[in-house]
Amino acid sequence: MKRHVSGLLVLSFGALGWLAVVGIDAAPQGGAAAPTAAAAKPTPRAADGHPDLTGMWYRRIAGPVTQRVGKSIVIVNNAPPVEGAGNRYNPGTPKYKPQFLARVKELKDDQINVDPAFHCGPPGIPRIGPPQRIVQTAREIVILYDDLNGNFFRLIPIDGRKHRTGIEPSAHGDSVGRWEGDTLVLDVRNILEDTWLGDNGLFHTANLKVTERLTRQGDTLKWEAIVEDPEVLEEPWKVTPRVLTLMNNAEIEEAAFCEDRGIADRATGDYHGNVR
Amino acid sequence: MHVRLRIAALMIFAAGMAAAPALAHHSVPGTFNVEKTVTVKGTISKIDWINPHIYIYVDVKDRAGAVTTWKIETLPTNHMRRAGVTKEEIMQEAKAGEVTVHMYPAHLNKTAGFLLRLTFPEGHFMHLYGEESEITR
Repeated sequence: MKRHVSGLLVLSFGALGWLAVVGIDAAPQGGAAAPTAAAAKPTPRAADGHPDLTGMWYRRIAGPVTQRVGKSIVIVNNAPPVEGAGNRYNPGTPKYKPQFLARVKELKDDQINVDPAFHCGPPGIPRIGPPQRIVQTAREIVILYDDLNGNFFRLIPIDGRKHRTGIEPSAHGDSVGRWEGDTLVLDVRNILEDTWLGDNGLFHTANLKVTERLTRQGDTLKWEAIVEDPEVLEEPWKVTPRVLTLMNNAEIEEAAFCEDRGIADRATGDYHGNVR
Repeated sequence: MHVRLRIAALMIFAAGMAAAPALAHHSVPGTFNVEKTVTVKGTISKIDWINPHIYIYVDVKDRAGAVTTWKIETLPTNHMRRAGVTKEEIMQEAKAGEVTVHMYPAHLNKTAGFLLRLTFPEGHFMHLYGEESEITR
């Protein structure tokens, strides 16, 4: 039988092969407001004159669009993309030095066992994706995430404070922010070596440095990330940028408990992993 | 030098190409047979409302009365929340008797599947994945 994989399937789970990775984590926003119209709105500014990035910008996976028909719940096929949903976004791939390609392949082939994010581990930077919810004050910004693996947060000084010293590495590292004109530049260091840069064995070293750039224009937020790890990468990796549209009718939510079913389910062969 | 560079470029290209099949490990088609729909009837004994995927356990009785528990995987919790589906609602609806489950069967586990539609004893249902044609095929 000829099968048609609906856009909705891709929307809801992605991971139908390479196309779908592309599917799982987001893309040009199909938000309620078209990005161009949203970008044309005035950019809100904080008391210090800098753009105010506060808002709900992104939702990692939106799921299928459903509606109630009587007492039933049915999928709405061919529904327009959910506000803030990420579809058909491909972050791109870092270029490893040739001597590390074998290691990437080895990790990729055994991803189901060795990828920490498949076992409820924190995704790390930049894998966690663009900011989901931002709270900005004069001294710092707070970025909140509702991820499949749980809620994560980053507390980032923007008042000139330097990186903290003498702290342990963490999955989402230690960030400091500074303004370059209307762009907030985040410098992220001290990222735990255990995390990956993305699917498919994209390992990094403890010397990973990520620079994120956040630019608000009207009700849009551009997210850029540059990944530097010269020990293993041939060149800095520029993650495919994203332009997010402010989500007016959404709020960050508490994530459900993530339970690592990998060990039990691998034994029976129905481990579906943690689609990212 | 030129040859070396070309080899490196080929390796990088090969690594990129090899990335595609790996995804099947954790995709729905990688774990479940999306070409088939299996239907079972039974009672819901438990629901694990967890990430990364929710599991619904359905006790299915055969003619001799022996019970087999099917493990039905479905959407992540945040998908359910946005679809307006709660664990309490499913449990409440399922109290009335046997539910009917349409699912993609797992490739390996003979009593596991990925939920397409859950039909309650009174006839209304939750269709959460796939298309109508996959229910009726």
